Amino acid sequence: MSDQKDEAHQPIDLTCRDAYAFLQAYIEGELQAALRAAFDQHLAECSSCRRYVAQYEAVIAAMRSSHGVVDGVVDGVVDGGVDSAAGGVPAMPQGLLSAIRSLRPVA
Amino acid sequence: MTHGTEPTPVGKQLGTPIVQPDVDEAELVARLKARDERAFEEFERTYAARVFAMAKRICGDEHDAADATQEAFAGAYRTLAGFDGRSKLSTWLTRIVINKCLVKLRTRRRRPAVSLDELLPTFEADGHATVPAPHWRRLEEEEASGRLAELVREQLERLPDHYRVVLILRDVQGLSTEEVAHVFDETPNAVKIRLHRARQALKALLDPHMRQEKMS
Repeated sequence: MSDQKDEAHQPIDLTCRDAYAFLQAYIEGELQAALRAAFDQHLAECSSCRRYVAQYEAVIAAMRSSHGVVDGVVDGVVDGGVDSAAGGVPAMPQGLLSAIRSLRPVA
Repeated sequence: MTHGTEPTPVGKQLGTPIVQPDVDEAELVARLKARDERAFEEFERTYAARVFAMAKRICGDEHDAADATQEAFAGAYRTLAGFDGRSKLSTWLTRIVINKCLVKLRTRRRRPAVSLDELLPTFEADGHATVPAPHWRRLEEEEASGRLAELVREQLERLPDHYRVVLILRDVQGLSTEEVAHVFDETPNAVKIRLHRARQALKALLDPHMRQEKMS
């Protein structure tokens, strides 16, 4: 019984393999506290994993900025044109909105 | 129509590009079902540009994206009567357009994708990475110059569609893991695994371009 207790209180020692496996959960804040502490400890000791985590996070940030994602409300969609009121949402090709309108079910 | 069996995403908003926070969806759906012309106008003005933007990101081709958008609205109008409001209108529309895009991608094969397994990290028996993470050039400068974003766009195209689309939905469109799982009829855990592999593979593809020059 005491062995079991000691085992439960052993510090968690992560390898690089473990860190790579837990990385996604780590950056999304899904790791349980003891595992998160172990992850942080591994990062403190492993410069390669520190670089890997920073680069992985940079990839996610760059994904978002690379595709011109815009938030907010689309208003005043212009067929084939650019409407500043649309907040930067790409304009649709000429005729697409008209084509969509033609698809409406007949009343 | 499969909609009736779809799980209901509770309290989740779809990723930013398609969602329209000010729209009273229940009221709009009721008016659409009543074939109110002004409701169709509102529906199209609210969602068409964002559906097209999403389709363009996934298809990577304006012509295919326009086709997929048109087919998505056709599908939505065809099945509108069966929409029971158990999922958000925007979620329902997203699922339709993504499926249209996936059909386009299957029929129009782009350049051969890389093998994902060759891009994933490997480890020694003691758990150390076989190859340590390289030193990248200064991230701040690469981000500020827009070079990193440009590289990401280029290299993303090399991933297999199955992985590329998950990355786009999760990291570009901002859908939650549960929403992506809903779109693909997969478990959230399966989506998480695929997403992690895709991010790791994309990082590996960026490594040769971002590697810091050795100081002589």
